[in-house]
Amino acid sequence: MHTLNALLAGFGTALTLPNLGWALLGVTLGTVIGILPGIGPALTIALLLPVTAHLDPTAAFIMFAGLYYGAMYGSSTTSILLNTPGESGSIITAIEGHLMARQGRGAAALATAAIGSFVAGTIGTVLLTFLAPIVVKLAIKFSEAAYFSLMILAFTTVSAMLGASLLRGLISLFLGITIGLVGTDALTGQARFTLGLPALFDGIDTVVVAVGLFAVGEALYVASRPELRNAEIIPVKGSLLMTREEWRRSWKPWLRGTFVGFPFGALPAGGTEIPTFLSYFMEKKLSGRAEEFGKGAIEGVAGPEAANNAAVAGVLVPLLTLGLPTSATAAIMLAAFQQYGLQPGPLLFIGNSTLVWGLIASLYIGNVMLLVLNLPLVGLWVRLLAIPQPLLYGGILVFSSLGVYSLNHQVFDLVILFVLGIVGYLMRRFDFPVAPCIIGLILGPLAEEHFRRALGISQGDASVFFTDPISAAMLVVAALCLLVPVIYRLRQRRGG
Amino acid sequence: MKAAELFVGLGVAALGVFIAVETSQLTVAPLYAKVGPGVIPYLVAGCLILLGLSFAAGAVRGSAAAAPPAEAGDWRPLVVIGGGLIAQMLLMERAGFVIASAVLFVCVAYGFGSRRYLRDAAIAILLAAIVYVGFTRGLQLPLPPGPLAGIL
Repeated sequence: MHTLNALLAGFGTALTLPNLGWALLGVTLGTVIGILPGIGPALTIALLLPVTAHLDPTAAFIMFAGLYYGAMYGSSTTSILLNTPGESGSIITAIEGHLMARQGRGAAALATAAIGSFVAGTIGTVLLTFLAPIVVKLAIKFSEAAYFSLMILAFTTVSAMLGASLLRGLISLFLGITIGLVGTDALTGQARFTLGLPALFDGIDTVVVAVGLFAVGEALYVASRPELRNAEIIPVKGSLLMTREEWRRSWKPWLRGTFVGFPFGALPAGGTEIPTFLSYFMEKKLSGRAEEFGKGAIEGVAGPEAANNAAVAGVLVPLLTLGLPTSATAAIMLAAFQQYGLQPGPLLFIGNSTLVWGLIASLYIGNVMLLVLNLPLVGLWVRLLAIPQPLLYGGILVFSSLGVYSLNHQVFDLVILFVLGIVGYLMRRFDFPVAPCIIGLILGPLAEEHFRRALGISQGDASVFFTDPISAAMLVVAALCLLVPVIYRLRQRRGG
Repeated sequence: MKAAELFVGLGVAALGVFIAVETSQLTVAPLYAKVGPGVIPYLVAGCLILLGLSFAAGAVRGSAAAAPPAEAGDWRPLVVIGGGLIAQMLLMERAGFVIASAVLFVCVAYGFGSRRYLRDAAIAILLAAIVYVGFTRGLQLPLPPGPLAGIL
């Protein structure tokens, strides 16, 4: 009952006129950037950070969360009509949905994606509502050592899940941790890795890293590959009102996709990509129409689109209850909390319950707004796809450099942006995932703080990480994540 | 063997060595000697060296873990866009935000294959001017005006 009361109070916060306005702004902006290739939710929230610094935190987070949800809705439109995934969680939709569009069933694909996203987003939000207080109760008992081990676990799972190989994920992660080390040490005031440059004493700003790796890196990469340019836009054909047959084939994949996607987000496993792939192959098996997959099967759009939205709802569970981001966007949202001097975790639910429950309630409202924005109004958004690519990327880079320059009014920040842009390009060129790097950047300094505080409490005795039962359990799981694939490969090699 | 991947691996390892050397130069107060600001950097440096070397070894052996995704692609757009970013840095405080950003915009559009210079330049100046006015007047956030100070 306590949860329901809190949620009701949350609706009281979310349903005020200004907060409804922020939610609408967030979901609209999210839809737009979801549709536009080359700009995603992590980059957009990073660019908005300086502008929202003076905004009421509740309003800002209502907008950010709406933006995150909206990007998932919008990206399916791009995947279906353009065959380029708007975001990484829509790769599968780009295959099956685009085939449907080519056959003149684009409207049905858009409809099943939007309604599936709504169903999954809503169920995911319900699960978030009831799961979060339970996790908070557990998290309150966590020691400093347990928090450190939890972060180690997140580091390993995120590196293993996001990207082509564990090795690439780990290198990306440590690159991010390294960038996070630059600047004045929080506990001793010692300057580290500043190369004697005063501009680096405050560290490298999250916004600069996110913009460099995402906007500049992506622009350089796409420009270097002419085959990624100039895709053909397929006009929306067919009726947005799905037929009885299409409903019948969609509802089970929606529900299954939801229950595949949510745990992936909620466990510190990270990412929206893997659950979409799982859902796709599950539908291929369960639909009894495996032969239609790869030729435009509606189940192959309905399931994965539900899965990626449910995963987004899931990601908010560890972010809000433990302060643990498992996606690049969540990591940037954690940076936003830090900007306001707030630390997500169990104490946030106690000290800032208005913010937390207002945010959760606004997700229900945002989902309804998004359904309206993405079904009847889809024709309006499709026009965004007609923006010529040279102008789109020109605009993205102008806004990105503006966001970076306006942080401190230092040309030096633009120099760092340039260097990180090259790093971002090289990461894409050599197939390194970018998300672990962002997570390492944000979570690295926190992990270091917990590590040193835990050792401070234990008088420098490192065995505390293994004698604390919660901490030990997490380290064991993390070790398994690293070792099981290696052992599996060795056994395979011996067997084959 | 793949030369490019080998260099990536060695580069990561070199970063690790750099971190270790820099950390050894830190002067740590004896009070913090046990778990001071140097512990985690040493750990990170060790991991970077280990990971970089295994990536490099994978590249030499040609194993899947370090397999290259595709061929290098076209490098010319990179030079043009990189040049645009450098031009923006140099011009920002000399020629002002509008001109610096318009130059960047035109370079990026060129890098993405557009050859309609006049249209691109017109859109670039218009966009930069609107952003400039919006930021300085609307949000009260100052941006370098440059010689256009009197006009905008």
